[in-house]
Amino acid sequence: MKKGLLSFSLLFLGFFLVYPLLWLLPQSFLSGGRFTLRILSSLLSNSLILQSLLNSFLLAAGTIVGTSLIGIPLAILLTRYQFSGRRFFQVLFVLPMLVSPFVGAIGMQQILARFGSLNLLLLRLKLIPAPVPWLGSGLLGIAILQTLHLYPIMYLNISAALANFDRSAEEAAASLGASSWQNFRTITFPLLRPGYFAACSIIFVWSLTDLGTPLVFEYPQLLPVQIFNAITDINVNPAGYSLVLVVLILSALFFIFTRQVVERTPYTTGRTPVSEQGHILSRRAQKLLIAGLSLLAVISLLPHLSIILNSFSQRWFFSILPSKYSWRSYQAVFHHRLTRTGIVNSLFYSSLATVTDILLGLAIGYLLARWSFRGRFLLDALAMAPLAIPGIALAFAYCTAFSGTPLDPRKNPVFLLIAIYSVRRLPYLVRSTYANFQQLNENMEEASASLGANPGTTFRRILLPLIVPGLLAGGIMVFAFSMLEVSSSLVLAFREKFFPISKVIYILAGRLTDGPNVASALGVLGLLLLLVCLGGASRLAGRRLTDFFKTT
Amino acid sequence: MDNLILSLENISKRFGATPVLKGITLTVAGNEIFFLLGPSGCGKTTLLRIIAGFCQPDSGRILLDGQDITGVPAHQRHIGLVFQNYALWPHLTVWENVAYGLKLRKLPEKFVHQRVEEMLTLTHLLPQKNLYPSQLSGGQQQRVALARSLIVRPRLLLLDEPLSNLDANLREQMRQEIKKIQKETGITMIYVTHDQREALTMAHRLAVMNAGEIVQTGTPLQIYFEPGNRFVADFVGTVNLLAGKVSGFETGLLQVETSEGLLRATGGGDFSSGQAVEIGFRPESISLRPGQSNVFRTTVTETEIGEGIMRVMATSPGGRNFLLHLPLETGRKLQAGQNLIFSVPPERMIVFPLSPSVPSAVKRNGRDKPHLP
Repeated sequence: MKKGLLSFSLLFLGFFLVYPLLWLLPQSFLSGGRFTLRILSSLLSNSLILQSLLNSFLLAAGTIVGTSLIGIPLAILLTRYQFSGRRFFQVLFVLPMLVSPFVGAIGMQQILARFGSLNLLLLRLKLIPAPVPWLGSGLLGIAILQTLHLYPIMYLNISAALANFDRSAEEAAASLGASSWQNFRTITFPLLRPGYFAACSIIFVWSLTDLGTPLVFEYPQLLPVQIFNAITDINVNPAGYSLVLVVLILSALFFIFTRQVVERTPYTTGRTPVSEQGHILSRRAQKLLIAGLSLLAVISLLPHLSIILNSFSQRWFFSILPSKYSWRSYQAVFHHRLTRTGIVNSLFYSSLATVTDILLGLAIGYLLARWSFRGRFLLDALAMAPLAIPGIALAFAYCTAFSGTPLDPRKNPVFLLIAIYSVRRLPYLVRSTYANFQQLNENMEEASASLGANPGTTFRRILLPLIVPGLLAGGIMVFAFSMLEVSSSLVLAFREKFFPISKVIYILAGRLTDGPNVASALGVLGLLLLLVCLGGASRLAGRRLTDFFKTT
Repeated sequence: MDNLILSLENISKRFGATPVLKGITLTVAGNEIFFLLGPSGCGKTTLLRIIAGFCQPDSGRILLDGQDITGVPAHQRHIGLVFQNYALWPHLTVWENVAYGLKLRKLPEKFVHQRVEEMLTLTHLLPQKNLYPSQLSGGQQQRVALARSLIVRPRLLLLDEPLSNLDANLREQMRQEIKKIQKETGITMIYVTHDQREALTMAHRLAVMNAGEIVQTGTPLQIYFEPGNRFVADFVGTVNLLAGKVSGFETGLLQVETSEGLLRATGGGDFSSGQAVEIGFRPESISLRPGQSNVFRTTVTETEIGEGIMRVMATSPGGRNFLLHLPLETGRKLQAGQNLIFSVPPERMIVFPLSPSVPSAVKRNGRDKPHLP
């Protein structure tokens, strides 16, 4: 049975992960059957592509700076200080990462536009003489949205590092005369560095490969948009292959770099849990802190608030808030043919992707935890590889590798959408089932076997019941994330009949009249779905749910 | 007490509603190893953290060389602290860990180098200087922790159960090492432990703590042979105790009426006639030669071999059980059922007022305290 599971897992990963990616290589390096670097070098002579590369790097760097400035102090405040409402804020600041900034971008356009809410408010308060172009060329707006979306990753990583942090390491330095700043510089930060680098690398790759936000902001000079556009004329212009290759290599490098940093850092001493729950703040300081945190919460939830407002607004021109509210957009969601198709499609794709992931996650997690075989390393690496592969790169690879086959997404993307949703989330499930199996004492299986149960029976009667809660929680999260998956949905769905929700939102957002409002309503529904799923999953899995947000 | 270094005045601290320290007053003299001994949860570590400056007392003052340092932040106190878990910095090598304190002070590179080398030599760590803490054994980590604190020559060195993570052999070796280092450097140490053996063998003076209070302060000999109450008597060893009533004084001896007859003890001027007391003796305080007072006629019930002694359980006709320690050669000849007459010289008797409110440290049946890890 183990061999069967192994071959099935390898077959799936080979076909939907290895093959399409390998397909990219000859396309980027072969011309007329001969090896060439011409395609790569042609990238360097194309000023639009060079500009896009530069912009993408700038954007990613800016997002890292932004998320560091918010995330690090936030993590320190929320783990090191005691004040009423701390638990509430700890949860609250995870929320911004739940909804793709691409949905929030629709609402933020309304807020940040030349005559949007913010400028109107400031004008009315006479704080500015003329409207400020917040969105600028568009790059700043994208950076703001990405920062507001991604800083929870920084916050979570630093918090996790701080939670494992042995406070006596700092006290030892203080007893030798280190001031607070010296302490932070020489002890605290070096010890937090692995967590920080991990967060930076996730954020960098995420920002570099985010397709949805620049599309909504109609800002084409960025790497992901160039890749997206390249798909349409891929047969005449091979630049897309090289761009995807660049993205893949960059993400892989960051991934490897992070692992190295995390593994190289010696971390064996200490790690005693903090005995004291942090400094207790004075009333006054508490009030100040809570006010500051609330302000940050409002700002970072602004994209979400704005789409909620947008979804209920019937008229919102040249006013700070909508001048007329209605349920119309929600009615439209359930009556428009396009939105209904999108919802039905997404439900279908996501359900199947969830089932696939549960089966694969169970199989691979079990194999890795309970069987030592040649090729174990390979299976492990393959199952975890999607963490390092941006959605847009994989989607592009699918588009080209399966073009002209019965799986051609231009004809029918159903299989590929289900496959890409499951491949993208597989690492999370594998990791959680693996951890689950590891924690179960092998003696339990041996006890069952000694009473005469065969391996199949043991698995069904002993192991499965013990890991079902974790598995279900994982499944729910796969479902929720698949429902809201952006870049692969945008790339792979070509025909309206097969559009998933994200693509519908994107199409609607670009329409005039009530398009953005309906798109917002759809986004709000997605948000609700996600919250419900998250609640359900955390009930099942308890605190282990945070595993889904750690990416190394 | 000359050369006064640290004094605590009425230090109190509560965590939430729980009082952890109830008005601790204490003085520690220069160049001594002072022990805070007590069961876990008695507040000794909190007291140490208050002295170090990681914890603020709710009330009371801390004076160091006459200066009030109560509000001074930890990093300006110049008080060293060795942690129970060592708290070595995993990202720095042994050398860097030890050099850290000197580098903070921006001392010349050459001087730092020389001092670190001296310190590593003193602690036998020179061969490990380029290793990271995770590559060291427990004993080596412990020595790095010591070296790191000692190198800046703190005015006071605090040690928080520094040996509790080591195995028994290593612990014994490190006790000697710390004593030696203290002698060589002359640094004043305050050492927290729950291990009475450690406290008795290493301390110049010690304070026994219980439930947030200091129960008794003294030299190891005073604490062991003249415990002021039941808690101390129990915590620092085993004691055979009987309840009794003071019946008077005679030729400088305190007379106490007990179920085993009239017992006599020296000292104890502050007892009054008729006062309820507890009187007893340590297991090794007995003599098998016939004595004039405090003679017990007993029957041996059980013998077992201990560390260099024979443990003998004996019962009096009245049903009282006694634990006695005899030299191995004497004790091995004893058998269960045999009669045993012993006496305790009055100067080795222990007397203190009966105080039912003080809880006994560990309930035992006349046996030696199990050796705590």
